[in-house]
Amino acid sequence: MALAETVLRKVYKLGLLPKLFLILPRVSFLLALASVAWLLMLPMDGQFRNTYISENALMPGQVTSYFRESEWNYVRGFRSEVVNWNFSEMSTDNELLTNWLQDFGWSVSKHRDPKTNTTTTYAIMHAPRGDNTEAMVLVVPYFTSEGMPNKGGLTLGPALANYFAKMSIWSKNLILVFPHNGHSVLRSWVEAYHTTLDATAGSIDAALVVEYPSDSDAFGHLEINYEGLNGQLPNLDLINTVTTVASHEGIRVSVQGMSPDDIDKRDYWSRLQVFASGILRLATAGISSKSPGCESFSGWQIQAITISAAGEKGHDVTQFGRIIDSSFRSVNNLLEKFHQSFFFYLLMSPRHFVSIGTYLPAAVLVAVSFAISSLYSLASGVTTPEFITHISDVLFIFTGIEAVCLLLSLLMQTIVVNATEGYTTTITIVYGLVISTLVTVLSTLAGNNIKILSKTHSYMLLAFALFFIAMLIVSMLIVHFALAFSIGICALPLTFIQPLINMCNAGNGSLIKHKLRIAMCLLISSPITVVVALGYLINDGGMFGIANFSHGLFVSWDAMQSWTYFIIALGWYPAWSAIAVACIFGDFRIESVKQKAD
Amino acid sequence: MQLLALLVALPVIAAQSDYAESLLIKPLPRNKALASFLFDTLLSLFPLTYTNSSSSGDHAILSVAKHYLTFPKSIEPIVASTNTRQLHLRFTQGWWDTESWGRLPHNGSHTGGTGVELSAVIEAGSLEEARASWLKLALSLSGFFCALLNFVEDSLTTFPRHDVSEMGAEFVTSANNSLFLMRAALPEEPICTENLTPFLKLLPTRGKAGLGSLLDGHKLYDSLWHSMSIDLITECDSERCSLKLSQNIDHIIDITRLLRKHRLGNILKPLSGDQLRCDLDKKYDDWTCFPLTDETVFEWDFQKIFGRTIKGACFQDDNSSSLIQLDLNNTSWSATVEKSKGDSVHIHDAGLVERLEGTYQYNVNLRTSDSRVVNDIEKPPIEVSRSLTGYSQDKGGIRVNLKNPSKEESVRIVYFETLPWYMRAYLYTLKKSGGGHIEAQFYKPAIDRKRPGHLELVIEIPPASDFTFTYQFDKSLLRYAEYPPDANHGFAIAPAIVKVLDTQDSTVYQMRTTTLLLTLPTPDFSMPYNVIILTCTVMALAFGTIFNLLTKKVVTEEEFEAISKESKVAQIKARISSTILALKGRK
Repeated sequence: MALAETVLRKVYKLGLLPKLFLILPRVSFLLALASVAWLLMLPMDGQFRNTYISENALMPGQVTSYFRESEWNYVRGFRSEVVNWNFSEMSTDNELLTNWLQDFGWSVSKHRDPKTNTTTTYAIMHAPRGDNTEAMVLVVPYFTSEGMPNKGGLTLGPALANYFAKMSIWSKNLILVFPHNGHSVLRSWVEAYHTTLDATAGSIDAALVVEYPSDSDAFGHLEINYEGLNGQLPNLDLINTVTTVASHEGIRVSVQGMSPDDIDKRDYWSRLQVFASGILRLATAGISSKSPGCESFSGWQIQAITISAAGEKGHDVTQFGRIIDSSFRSVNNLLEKFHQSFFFYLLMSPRHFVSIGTYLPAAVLVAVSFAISSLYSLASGVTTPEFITHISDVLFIFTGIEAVCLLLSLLMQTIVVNATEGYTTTITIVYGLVISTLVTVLSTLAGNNIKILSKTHSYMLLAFALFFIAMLIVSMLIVHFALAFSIGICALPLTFIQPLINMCNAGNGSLIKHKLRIAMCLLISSPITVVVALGYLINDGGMFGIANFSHGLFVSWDAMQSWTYFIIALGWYPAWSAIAVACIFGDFRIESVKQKAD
Repeated sequence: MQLLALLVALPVIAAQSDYAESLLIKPLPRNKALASFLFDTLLSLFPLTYTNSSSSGDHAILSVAKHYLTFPKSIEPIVASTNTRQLHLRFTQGWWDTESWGRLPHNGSHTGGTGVELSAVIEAGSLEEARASWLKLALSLSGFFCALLNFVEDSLTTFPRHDVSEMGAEFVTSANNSLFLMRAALPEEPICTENLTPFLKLLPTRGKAGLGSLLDGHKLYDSLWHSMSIDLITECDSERCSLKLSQNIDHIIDITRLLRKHRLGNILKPLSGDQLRCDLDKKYDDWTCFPLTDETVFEWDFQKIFGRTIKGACFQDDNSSSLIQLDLNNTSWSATVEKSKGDSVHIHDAGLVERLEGTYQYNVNLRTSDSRVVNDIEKPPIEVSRSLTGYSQDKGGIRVNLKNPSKEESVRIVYFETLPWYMRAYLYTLKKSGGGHIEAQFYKPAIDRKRPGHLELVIEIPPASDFTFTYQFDKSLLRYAEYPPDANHGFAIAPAIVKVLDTQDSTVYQMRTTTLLLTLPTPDFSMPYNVIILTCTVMALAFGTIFNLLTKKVVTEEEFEAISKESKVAQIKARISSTILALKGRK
């Protein structure tokens, strides 16, 4: 206490507070820079950790898998049938597959989903002498995330079913699911499994989604996708298990769609690429229609990953089957639920990761940066008594903006979800949103005459909006780091607006330049700009990408129960609108106050 | 049908002598087979006594002389000292595939749910006395059968309502006493060979001769589904009573797997190319093979399936009988019995029922020309599935679906469910859908740590319809010591029992649903330490501040600065600065 007292006394004596106030914008910006620098530092040697199997019971790769030799003949036998299928027809009703599975002793059931208008076939193998309370799921979608017919997958599915049924070692039930795709169809099956299905096999521990689009015997390497919805990730032990099993087979593993050669470089840039792509994919999980499928299991305490065969040659199809077999047998060993290892992590490569404690400070720094900017806006034009008398008004205005956003977001969502021509409707709405954003931004340049908000209100609204973003980041910090951090970085230009306004007021530089800068800040930090830009840039987007991405965002809640749309529409967008409102209708002129005082 | 009639007649045969045993083999579709062992023992005619728990009970037992003969001597004192009039113990593991195996053996009357199930009818003067006897019985049986029956306690025990009406016979020793039916289930209990050993020891042959000699733990527990039951029933005429012990083992054998194991060993190595069974109608070459289903033409014998042959009849006398029954479809199955003694081997075609004699070694050989053809599988009168719904940590739901597969008759059932006290079910959330209606409803809510929730529904379902009901529950927080030591699968919810009633309200068929796995909210157990650390820090800070206020003098800032100039540190500072100045001055 004494030390604190001394420091406070010194601060007071030296008049540090006003000086500190002046450098607040710089502090805020530096914190944001530090946050990015923090993340950039993590892929450096010594900052990340090697993955390891935390749950000893898993013992991955310790069994010899006999899915080899003559099993390969069976695989080819199934494939010679599967390649002749018409996948889009078969995916709704596949009598052949049903018969095969029944012949192997699996009990086959169907799930009819009215929402997606599809029928999903699934088969259950009850573990011999099992207590029938837990299950592992193997998902083979008819179409991969790229929209290719999953020929190899549908070959391996029945071949493995035949092979698994011969074994008596299972302690958990096995479920084979054949959805039309790994996106909304699989999601609706997972939901039905936990609500309305009659034929169930206990709580699901782990799920593997299998994609093997080629009809050849050979593949090059294994690709793992693991991002779940709403920031959820599968237990790291599951990824480790599959990676270990694959490496026992001599198969190279890649994540984030990188080529294994790039990953094997083991240098800073390859790790940074995986890391950054991981954050981006996690933040946009559930939105892209090219979702790998594992995210459909999010929210039900199921550990799920997608493994896909990529590349042309090097390994054979039974090796891919052995990865599935061996991984299932590892999970089969579990005496508990997945609870060891990490649930919050970011991968640098299949074998390197950082855990939550290491990367979390980055988002904290961004949040603090917003909080400091908010403080700066308050300190720029509001006194304590003003603050106390006006806070309820500001809260009222902000709640109003929030209510409008809620209404609009629900309206847009309903329209898109129920529209017969979803994409056309989306494009119309996106046009509308882009135009409204541009109009808003332009009107900050023009409108100088309408001053609806009083000076205090303007400052406080701006401050509150920034504070709101800070709180948004903090509240999502642990649950959904990727989205929190991305929103923080994308909305960062909003923190420059108050310093720019203050410069205008001080009369430094030309007014129109400052106004242009404020408009630019608003434009860049608008969620609509970011969504459009993201749609254009990622997943070989272009104009079609924009429509695709926005459509995905609108339907993501309805199809996948992803919160991202509402976080953007009710968190980021209202804050941005509040600042835009303050800029257009607000009165920030300090001079007028001074003149009055004079 | 002939066989069924024989099955029904069996108890009659058993009643004539003190001991009888039989084995039924019935091939099922997809190369599976049901093996059903039945051992009946009788302790005849003794006067019923009531052991008062307060008085020295052992005395009373000893005072009555009994001739045990074939009846196991070990179990009777336990039953007598707890005044148990009926005892039913079930050890079951696995999932019964109704679709391809049809009805449960013995209409489910000898089959429990997964794990261990214990129920008993106990004579007692009061409920307290009955509870005491019940716990004593469970503890004794726990040691006896190497099962964790000592976990049976009041919070697991229910008093089934419907079964009470079926109890019938009033064999109480005094008019002041009444009978109490109590039941508990331990769904998490694994069943293994150490439960089989005490089972075999109850047999008069100790598993050394007769059909018991076929029971090998390694083979029995390598089945798809197995159930072991022990039923002890007191039957009385006017004065004297007899104890009937019936022991039963049913299991489903995967013949293909056992034969493969016998031929190729335990490891599932791939077959060589020429041994593959391929569909020649589809693409077929040296590299490609579309697999056919399992072999349909093969033969198997007891030696391969049970790992042993039968060591003669149970006893050499004529009073007791050892029977083997084969429920085969004559069009595609045939069986021979191989009787051997030393070098002499005698083989003859097996009849429907084979009686074992003398000290021969018996081996039964079965051949099939098409294993897909088996005797008709009787459909069960009801199909039930039960599952958990919802995903949150604090609440969930249970969904039960009942199907009446019959196209002509409606079915009346009793649905009996015991819910552990940490599942707080809300009956007002009970929602029904589909055909059928709930005729009667009984619910006894749980009391924390004292009594489980107990739900009984009488439901009538019209022909060929589905009835689904769901209800919601809250999950309780447990005390920290009540959680299992480490993170776990979850908590097992005992299977529900579904009993099909006839018009007289007596049970004609019964079955169990599967166990459910409930995950309870588990707190982070390191939290208390964090709380202790934080609390201590706050207390230390508060103490420091107050201590400062109490011990220090309050001065103004000017006074403080004046004083601080004279402090030792200030003096040393001044000395150093003067030295530095002096040094600078010298330069």
